[in-house]
Amino acid sequence: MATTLTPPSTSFEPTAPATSARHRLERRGSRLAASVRSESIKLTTVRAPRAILALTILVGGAASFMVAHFVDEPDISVATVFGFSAVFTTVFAAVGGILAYTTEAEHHTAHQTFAAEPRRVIVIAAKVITTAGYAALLGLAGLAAGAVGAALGGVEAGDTSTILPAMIGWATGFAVLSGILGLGVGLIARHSAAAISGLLVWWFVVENLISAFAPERVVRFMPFFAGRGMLDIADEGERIAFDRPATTLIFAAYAIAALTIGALATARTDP
Amino acid sequence: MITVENLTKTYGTRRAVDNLSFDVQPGRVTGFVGPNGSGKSTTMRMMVGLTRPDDGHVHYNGTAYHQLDRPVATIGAALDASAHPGRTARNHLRTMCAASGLARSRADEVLHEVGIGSVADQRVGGFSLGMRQRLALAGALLGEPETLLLDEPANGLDPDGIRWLRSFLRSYAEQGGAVLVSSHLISELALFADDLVVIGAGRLLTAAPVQEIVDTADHSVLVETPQRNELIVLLGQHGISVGESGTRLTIAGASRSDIAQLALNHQIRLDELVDHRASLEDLLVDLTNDAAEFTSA
Repeated sequence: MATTLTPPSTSFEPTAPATSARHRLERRGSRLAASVRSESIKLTTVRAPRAILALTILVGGAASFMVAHFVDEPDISVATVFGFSAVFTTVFAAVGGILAYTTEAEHHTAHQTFAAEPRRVIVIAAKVITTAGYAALLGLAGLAAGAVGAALGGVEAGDTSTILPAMIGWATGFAVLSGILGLGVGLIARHSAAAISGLLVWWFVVENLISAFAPERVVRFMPFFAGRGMLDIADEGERIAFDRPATTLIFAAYAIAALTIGALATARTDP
Repeated sequence: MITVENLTKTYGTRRAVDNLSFDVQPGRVTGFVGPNGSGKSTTMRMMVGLTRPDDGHVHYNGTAYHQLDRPVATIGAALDASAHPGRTARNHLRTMCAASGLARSRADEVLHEVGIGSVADQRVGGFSLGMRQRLALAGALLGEPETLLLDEPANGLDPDGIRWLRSFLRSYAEQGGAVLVSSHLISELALFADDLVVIGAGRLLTAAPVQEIVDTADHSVLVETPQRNELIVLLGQHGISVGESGTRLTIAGASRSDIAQLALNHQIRLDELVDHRASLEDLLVDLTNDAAEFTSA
């Protein structure tokens, strides 16, 4: 039963809905751009992303320094060592991706985000774009720190013309995909501690345990084993991963699957 | 105008909102009242698309919320006083400005409008609940919306803040805006609401102007007299029913002046003669009592 109360006059003009298909498309584009701007401000106005960037530089630099300084091999150089930093960088990129949504869920700011932009797919697309950009920044910063760390470790520059650009591309790609995987896990879990600990336990404990017992044909399809294959830094005797394009596809499939499940969960449930 | 039609939401076996329908008119402050757990917050969340209704819909001037071209220009919602504790008030609002395509300067304008401009650069983690409430209201005002939707906005405000909120919402409505404000403080709402929507156990109990609800209250006259028995007999002779309430008599069906005249004619002394009408709070408590999920022992 609808009860109508006394109608007074109003000075406000009603907002007309979008009409033409072209206008709707333009509106979606500008809504996405607006959401990306909003997500960028979120990223740059709290401490956690800056702390993660600082840790990436510190740990990446230290890892490369240790390898360069303590590993005694004849062909070791900055070009071959700086990529070791990417192993750690991708962990931080995944954590950054997780926090992109879990902090919103935990502090209930997702209410304001989805009230301002009710089309949740646009918000998630904006988070994917900003997370990918942030993860790429982490990847590049980690590699730069790795190069500096390796140089400080006392090794020669090495072949910088071929190895260096390839490693920058693959390692940055690994970081970006890790960030997107982290975002997907964050959208599913909605809780920072649960998502981060779950991801790290899988990455560093479960996969290693499975690797120790399962056959190669199974191990090479494990997400982070495949992801590390993108860096191509395993010793000759340990090379059981597919080539770089194949491992990229495997890891990307996991990242897209996590993101799709997370996006569906976010679209269908209350924030 | 907001039109809520047949809104229904069930969580498991519990029906949180049950076929709820009401309208909110522009130029009016509409109080949304109900006991704890009656479905007020769930209804408001459904009104801004945060919760998906099982059935029914909400329209803003005929358009569903998710189809609005610029939602913030149509409806400003403050459903809770939440913000990232590590972000400053200004940056919190700037994220909202950016998401809605508004100029960054709006953040400072609304912060001053709600009286917390001086703490714009402080982190929200250090804010009191009252300051957070003002920040939430600032967020709702960003798009200069035609409708405000506020869930318990007076929580945590000091008396001065409550008075300010009251006059702010009244002035907003007088300029033509529609305001839907939920509260469990009925006496507070009665001071500034034009209309009330009362729900219990997710169902609509009544929706009407405040005065109309007040007028439905039983009217009686309270009398204190040393000649109690004589007055009871006298009123009985005139067909007027009399009840007892402590040392007073409760008389229904006669006006104060009629009773005074009768007593004067028969030389009966009256020490007290007052009109009594149940308060809005009493009325609504009676109304929602059967539907209250959580009640005092």
